[in-house]
Order: sequence, then C-alpha cells, then structure tokens
Amino acid sequence: MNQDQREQLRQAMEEAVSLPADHPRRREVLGQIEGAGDWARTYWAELLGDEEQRRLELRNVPAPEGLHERLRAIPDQVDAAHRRHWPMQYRVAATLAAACLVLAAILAANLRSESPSFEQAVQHVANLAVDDHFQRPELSVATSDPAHVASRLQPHVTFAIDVPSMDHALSLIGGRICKFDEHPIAYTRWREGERDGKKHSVYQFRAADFDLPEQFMPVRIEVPAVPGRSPAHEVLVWSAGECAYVMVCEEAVPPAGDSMAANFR
Amino acid sequence: MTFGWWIRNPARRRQRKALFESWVDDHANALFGLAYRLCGDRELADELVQETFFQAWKSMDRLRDETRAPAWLMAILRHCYRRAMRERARHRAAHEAVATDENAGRAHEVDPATDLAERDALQRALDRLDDRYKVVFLLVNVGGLTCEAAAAELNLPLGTVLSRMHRARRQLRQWLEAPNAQPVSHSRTKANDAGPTLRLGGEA
Repeated sequence: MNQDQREQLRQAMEEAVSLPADHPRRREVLGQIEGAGDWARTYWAELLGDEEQRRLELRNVPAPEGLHERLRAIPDQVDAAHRRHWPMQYRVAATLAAACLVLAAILAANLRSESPSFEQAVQHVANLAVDDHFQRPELSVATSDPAHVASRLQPHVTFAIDVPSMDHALSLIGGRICKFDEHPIAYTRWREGERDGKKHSVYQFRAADFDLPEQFMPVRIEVPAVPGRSPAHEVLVWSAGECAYVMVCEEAVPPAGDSMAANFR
Repeated sequence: MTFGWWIRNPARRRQRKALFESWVDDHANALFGLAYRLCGDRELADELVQETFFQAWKSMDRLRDETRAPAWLMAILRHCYRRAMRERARHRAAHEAVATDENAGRAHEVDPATDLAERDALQRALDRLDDRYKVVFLLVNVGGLTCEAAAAELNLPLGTVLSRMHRARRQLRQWLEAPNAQPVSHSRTKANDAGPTLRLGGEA
C-alpha cells in the first residue's frame, strides 16, 4: 500500500468513525483496515479513542444555574403576555366607550344649560306659582302695611322688594318668603274687595333666575290642571327691571288684571 | 388553530405544558452545550437556549411528530444562532466604523486573547473552525444526531456530512496540538462537498 492509498484509507477511517457500527460504509472500511495491516488497526483504535474522548469533552458543558427554572417559566410568561394583550384591547374599547359617554353627557349638559325659550321660562314660573298658590301656604307676616311686609322679607332676598300700595280693588294681607327651584321668592297675598273677597297671590323674584328678560309686558299664561294639586288656571306674568312677577288670581284673571299688574311696575 | 386557543382550552394547555417541561428536562442541558460550543459564550448560549424554548412553545403545533423534538429544537437553536451571529457581525461592523472614525485602532486595544484564555483549549479551537464544519461536527458530537440525521437536518448529502466531520476533526486535532498553526486550506478534495454555502438551519 503506497502513501496515497494509506492517506485515502485514513480519510475513509476518519469519515467512517462517525457512522454507526452497523453502517455498511463503516463495515466496508473495517474490511479495508483488516487488509491494510497493523498501522491501520492502530490508527483506527486511536481514532475510536479520540472520538469518544472528544465527544465526552465536548459534552462537558455545565448548564448555568437556574436555566431549567427559567425555561419552565416560559409558557406562563408567554401566556401572561398574551392575556395582557387582550385586556388591553378591552381596556381601549372601554376607554372609548367611556369617552363617548362623557361626550354625550357633555352635549346633553350643554343642551340643558342652553337658555330655555321665553315661552318655556314663562310657563315654568307660571306652573310653580299656581302650584304654590293652591297649597294655601301660611304667611310669615300678616299686615296690610306694604312697608312692613317689605322690611320683613327684604333680608331674605337679594333684589329690592316692591310692594305697591293699591288703594283700590286690592288690599294687602301679608307676605312670606318661598322658593322656586331654590331661588328666593317674595310672596304677597292680596284680597279683592271685602273681607271674604277673592285672594290673589303675587310672586316677585329675580328675572334672571328663571331666564326671563328684564322688561316685558304682562302675558296671560294658561296652566294645566295637576290632579290633586291645582285646577287649570290662568296667570299673569311680567317683568320690570331686574324683577319679574307672577300674579295668580283665585279665579280667572279679571279683565282688570293688566291694570293691576301695572301697579307693580 | 391559534396560540390563543390553548389558553382558552386549559386541558390542552396543561398537556402541552407537560410536554414542554419534559423537553426542558431532557434536552435543555444538551442544547446549552451545543449552543455554547457553537458560539463560545456562556451568556449568549443561555440566551440562545431561552430563545429556542420560547420559539418552541409558541410553535409547538408545527411539530407533528414528537419523536423529532430533539432535532426540531436543534434546528430552532441553529436558526437563533445564525440570527445572533448576523446581529453580532452587524454590531461589530458598526462599532469598528465608529472606532475608526474617532480613534483609529483603538477598538483593537482589547486583546481578544484575554477573553479566550478563559475558555478551554477545545473551545478555542472550535471558535476558529469554519461554521460549515463546526455545525456538522457539533450536531453529531454534542447534539447526538447520527450523520444521516444531521444530513437530513441540514439538507446535505451524507458524503458531505462525513467529509465535513473528517475535516473538522483533523483541523481541531491540528489546533489542539499546535494552537498557533494556521488553518488548513479547505481545498475541495471531494466532489460531494457542498462548498462554502453556509447552511445552519433555514428549515427551523
């Protein structure tokens, strides 16, 4: 066997040493080794020893501490990240929904905060006045002296109380303070004619508290009946300066109502 | 089937998790050894193994035959290794460009031998080995694959695998005996060697 043939066999042995023992190629090389002499058998034995030693040496790599624990934690970490992903989507949806609700609430509040129309404002105070009138409230001050009534009521309101002296048709009985929608109202009660005459109520308040203009002529407002509280009724509403007034008569507003109202201006 | 489906199916998830944990018990150490021998860096090897198992958990459904798990995990590891090497090469190139601009030659002041001295001689020799030979050699000797299995995994002819094993072994022996020796020229003495094409696990 010349040098080239030896080199070829060495290469064949180095390739075959990696093959399983029963591999045909390895068995073929083993046959060549048998025929090549002692040097080949020695080389093959050294190769096998080196191969095994190298394999052991290569595999001798201690794993870092905690590697298995870190690897075992992967499924939970991945799934937790996945779960966090979904709630985030839900959170975004919820945030958008909440934002829409807030927007809707703001719009609604804006709509509500817008000044009601004149008719609505007048109707509102008329309704409140009729309701109060038919409850026949107690008077806190009973006197026919307008100045005395004004002085007793004035400390409770921020506007100047105007109690006119009417020497004809109506006479003052007394007054009190009440509230419409938490706004202070100066209430005076009047009698038409003699002692058993019809009772009329006059409510005085700041026009701005009920979104009413500061100056408008008396208007007649029909108030529908409220079962158990008040019958259908008609009232006069007007304003003069910063104050507005509602006059509720015991029955329908008399034709002279407008002139009566004029006394308050 | 989506990954989320597992979460909504606790029984299925428990089954998968048990399988995954058996893989950790059976293959984590071998994979770490393979990763370390491939890259020569314990920290990077740790990262590679974690990335391997992370990818494995996410794509368990793709493994139809559970008996192929070791080879499949090694294929993922090779894929991760190849990506890590690409990133490292990019980072090194960028670092060297900056060093050249700012202070020519300064980047080379750190002697790589200082780092290398801490490694064992075998690892130093492996670090010098061309990836074509190293991957085949390690898959068989550390990964425990047969040459046929390695050939199938790498999509190479068996003859090429055997040839690379032989060259790797001869080169390593030379470097272990004479650490300062120059690499043996990898002239193509065999027609069936696939040449310089680097295949590290594109099939992962």
